[in-house]
Amino acid sequence: MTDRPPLPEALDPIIHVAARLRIVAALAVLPEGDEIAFPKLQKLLEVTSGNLATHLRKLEDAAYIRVTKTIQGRTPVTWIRLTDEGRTAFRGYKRALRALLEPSLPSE
Amino acid sequence: MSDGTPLDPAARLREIDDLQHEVQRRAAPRSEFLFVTWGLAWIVGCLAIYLGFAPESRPTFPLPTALIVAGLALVAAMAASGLHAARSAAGTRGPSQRVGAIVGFLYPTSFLTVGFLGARLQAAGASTAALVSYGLTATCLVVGMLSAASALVFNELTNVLLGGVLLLAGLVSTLLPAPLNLFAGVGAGLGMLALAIAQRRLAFAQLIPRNDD
Repeated sequence: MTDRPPLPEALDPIIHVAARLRIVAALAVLPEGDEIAFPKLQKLLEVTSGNLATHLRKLEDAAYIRVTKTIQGRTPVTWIRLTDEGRTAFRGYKRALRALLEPSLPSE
Repeated sequence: MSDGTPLDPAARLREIDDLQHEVQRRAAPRSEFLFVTWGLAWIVGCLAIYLGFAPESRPTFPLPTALIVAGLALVAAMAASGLHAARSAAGTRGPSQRVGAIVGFLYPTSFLTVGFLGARLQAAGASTAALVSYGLTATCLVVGMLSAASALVFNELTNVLLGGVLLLAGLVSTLLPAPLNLFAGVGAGLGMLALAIAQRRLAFAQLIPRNDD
């Protein structure tokens, strides 16, 4: 049994999971509204497709990302983009981390 | 970014920052590559044309040879940067690519006008030296303005610096007699090489910093 330290309340538990934080941080680099193909995201993050798909589903359920499936030629392509909610949550997460460093600052 | 260990906010912020820099480096066109490619093209092109004029008594190269060398440097830079941009853009899509395509379309359109005006000036009797001066300054102006404009669109600091370097080179080129003014173009190329070096520090630097990041 592991005793995990309690999560500070301001930290979004969905983003706080390392694998999902990496996904959201990577997607946040793209300009707003831009999408990335699943294989490119997988290559950037160096994760297995199964692992990536699992965490994407969690993020999609939280409405932090939007997943669109299209057909290019005869090949299905999955496109992923960060939603406005996801971008806001990511910014809020970073602000919360900064607030933990400087507790006197408001964490919003 | 590990789970189950006491949270170190500073380390986690650093990890986010490192990851985003890595993603930016691997997923977006590498500005330092583009700056080096175009910096070398400007230096080679302007020096070649200069040597087509100097020394005045017996130029180092015949001018047509110098113009071919400059043209080849231009085409090589266009091909290298075009291929690089296409490879970087593969696997992404969205509004920024459409804006990028519009900005990319403005370059050939502007240079078509520069070329036609050059032909008109030649037909009106402008000397070769005058045409070189015109070509240099017009190129600095067009590329400088488009770089500055794309910096505003994409909120990038390095592109506005590039625009500044080119507009300054264009201004200096008008103050020097031909063919010495070609050294303003060489200076622009050196400025791009300096930006390539500075890019490591300036990566992610926004023209107008957002407070909400």
